[in-house]
Amino acid sequence: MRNHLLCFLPMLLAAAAAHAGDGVTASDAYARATAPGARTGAVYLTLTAADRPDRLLSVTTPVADRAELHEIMQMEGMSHMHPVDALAVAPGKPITLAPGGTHIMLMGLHQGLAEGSAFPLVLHFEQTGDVSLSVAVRAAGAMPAPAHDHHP
Amino acid sequence: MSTVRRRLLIGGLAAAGSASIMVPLSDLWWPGRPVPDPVPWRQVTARFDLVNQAGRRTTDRDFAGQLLLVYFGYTFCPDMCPTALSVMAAAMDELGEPLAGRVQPILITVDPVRDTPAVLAGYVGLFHPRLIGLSGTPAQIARTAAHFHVHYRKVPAADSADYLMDHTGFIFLIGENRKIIRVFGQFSAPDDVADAVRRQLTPEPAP
Repeated sequence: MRNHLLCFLPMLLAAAAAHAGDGVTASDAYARATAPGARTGAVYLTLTAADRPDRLLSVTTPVADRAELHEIMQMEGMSHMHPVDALAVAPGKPITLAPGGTHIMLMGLHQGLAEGSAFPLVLHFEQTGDVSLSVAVRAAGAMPAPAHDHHP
Repeated sequence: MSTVRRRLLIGGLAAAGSASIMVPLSDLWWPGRPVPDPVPWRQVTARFDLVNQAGRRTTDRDFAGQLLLVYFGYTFCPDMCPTALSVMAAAMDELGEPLAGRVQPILITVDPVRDTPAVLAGYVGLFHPRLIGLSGTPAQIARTAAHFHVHYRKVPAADSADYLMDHTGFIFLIGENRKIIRVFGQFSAPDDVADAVRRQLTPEPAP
């Protein structure tokens, strides 16, 4: 068994080297401004996997105690926020976290998020590893631009 | 079901629901339970007796002659409430004057313990200058929400005091007679809300 694994090792290393710098990229990351004393916030962004599937496992940021993936589910007549374990990203299928859907929730915000400011955030992926980015804080009611469907 | 598809499903159902006065919630809201009758929002006459963000007693009678856009939410809400309030704000801006002056957007908190008038004062202005926030005692809020058939419950956080709230997330368009005209889901387009207001405020053209 060990010999077989060793045979594969150079291939894996070559593959890893070839894909260095690839993996998942994050774009258009923004948060909404909060009231000054707010303890929760939300981050939205788009994830694009270059050429292999990956999973977003966790998120960290210095501006909050915790950052978690949450989705909104309907339960018993109410909208309910439900933590998501991991977010799978497949090549060719970018995922956009947007208001009203799955989003990164910031909990234990150390201070309110002011419109016009920015803060750092790190996404921890299973394959790609850590992806660092800067999150722009937009207006409290900021909504994503409407998507343009190019399908005929 | 993939996350994206689930979102589209919820969004599609909410959009479909928002297109009718009687939202067919039975399919959406009660998985595994006997299907109840649709929530009788037609029978609701909007009433509230609460306190606004300036600490002043505010009732439905304070807005005579105006339509009301009412949303039940809370300031700790990181995603859904800013989304709904943003829809309301965009609808107000889309209407423009003088029609916007005939509509009063209102946030009623489902979390009166944390959302005191002072907290609401620092929050509503983030969305629209005309948006007012109403709070009250837990009993007053409970009575008001029950009257609107709005449900809410506290969701404790695992390792902190920062709880979240589950809550019914609809935007109510209420007529001058205080009857609920339309119920909008949070995925509603501001244009749809503005159109509904316009139809209510603009007299029918003569045949």
